[in-house]
Amino acid sequence: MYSQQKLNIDKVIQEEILECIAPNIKDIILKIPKQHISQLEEIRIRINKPLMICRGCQDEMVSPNGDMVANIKDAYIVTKGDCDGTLHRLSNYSIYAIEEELRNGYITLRGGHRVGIVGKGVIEGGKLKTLKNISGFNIRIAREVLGSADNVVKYIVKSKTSIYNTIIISPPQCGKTTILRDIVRQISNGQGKYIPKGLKVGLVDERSEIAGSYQGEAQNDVGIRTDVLDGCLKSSGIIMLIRSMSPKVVATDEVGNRLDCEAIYEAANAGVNIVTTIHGDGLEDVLKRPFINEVLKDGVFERIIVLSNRYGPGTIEQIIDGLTLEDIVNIPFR
Amino acid sequence: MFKLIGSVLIILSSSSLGYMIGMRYSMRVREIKLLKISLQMLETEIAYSNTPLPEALKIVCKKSKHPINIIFNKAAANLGKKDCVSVGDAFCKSLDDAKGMYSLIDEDIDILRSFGHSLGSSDVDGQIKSFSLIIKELDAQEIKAEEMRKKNENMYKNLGFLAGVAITILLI
Repeated sequence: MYSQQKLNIDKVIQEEILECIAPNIKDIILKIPKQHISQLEEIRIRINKPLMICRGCQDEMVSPNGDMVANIKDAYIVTKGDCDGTLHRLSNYSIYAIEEELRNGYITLRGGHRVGIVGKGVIEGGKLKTLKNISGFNIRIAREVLGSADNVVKYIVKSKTSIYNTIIISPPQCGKTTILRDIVRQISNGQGKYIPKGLKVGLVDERSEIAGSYQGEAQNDVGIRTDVLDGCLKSSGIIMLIRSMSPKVVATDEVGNRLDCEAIYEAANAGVNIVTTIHGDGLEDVLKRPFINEVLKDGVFERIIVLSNRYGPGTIEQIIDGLTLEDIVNIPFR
Repeated sequence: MFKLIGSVLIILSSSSLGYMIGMRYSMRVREIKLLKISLQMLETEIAYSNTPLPEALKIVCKKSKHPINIIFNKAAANLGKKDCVSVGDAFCKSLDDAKGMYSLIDEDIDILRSFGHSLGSSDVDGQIKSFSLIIKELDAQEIKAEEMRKKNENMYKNLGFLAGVAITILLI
């Protein structure tokens, strides 16, 4: 399933990520053996704490020589200078140009990689003005896995010109965004016998994770009939797209609050199909949540896809018919 | 005849030496003025267009006059290298690299150095404040430089000529 992964991850990391990290840390990461780098998911930089990388959903400490170490004494300890250097490079030496991003707590890099930032909040008039004394970074390496939804698309296609309203339920780091992105791409481009012509898709990418837009250009392939509304609130974005771009399908990531759910009803009433995701461990977990449980009970979503990490990220645990709540697929596969 | 040519040469060279020393004072005044204009352009780029610093420095470099543009050009180049640890380092390095190209004195350069360390390292409000601070400091420097120019420029020019005349008389 992951055979179509075209990226040369070494090159991606060198060109798009290491350019934005303080030189000391960059040198250490360059020393990490290649087989580890290819599985890299996150780089964690925390002030006065060991440098860590995450791969295969586990974190490991890194020594100054680029080895994985178990003892904290052998690990490289991140300094304040490293944090400052990383912030300067991330912002292209222009903190003033990333004020809005600091307020949101993350920056999107070229290539769609996301860097989460924490520090001390500066509050003005009851609102977060900016962050100062930046103390931690989480660099998440975005992986576009073309073909990750190959086995899913056939279950969500209703006819040649429409799809079922679909929600993907998944714990963090199980490939929910990756699969959503590929579903969007395949629906938009058209996929063989299921949707031969492709549908117009409106994508509300509130946190720039799906299309990974960098200065307005989508860095990931989200299909040729996809209109991306980047950095816009999901609730208002869905309505905006329906009014302005006449989509057949609206896609968005991580719904949950009341406004999101109202927008979902609105889209469903407007005859637009929805594909979305939500954090959660299975259907029972999500049914306990306010707002979204009503949407599910009302049968707005006709297909519920549950992901897990059983055979690695992107394992399809279950596919459920949202109207009858009967399993369509109940043998996990990847 | 030789004596005449010799004396003319001595007077010419000694007055041009005096002229050059005197010129440094008026050059400094001119450079401080140019620097202020360039910094105001940079402020506009940063505060109103939110242009990232490397690009903003290049734009200002294109619009600035010689020799001030050299400082901005070198700073932009140093930033591009990505191995300058901070903007302050890159800016100070550019001031050192361009030394000898301008007539600014150490006092002026020190102001620029401390300004360099605040460049790019705060939000827009902070940047506007540090720009207004350096403009004020440069205003004060300009007044001082102007006073020194008035006092010294003509003196050195005359001194050069007179010294030439004195040497000639002594030699004859």
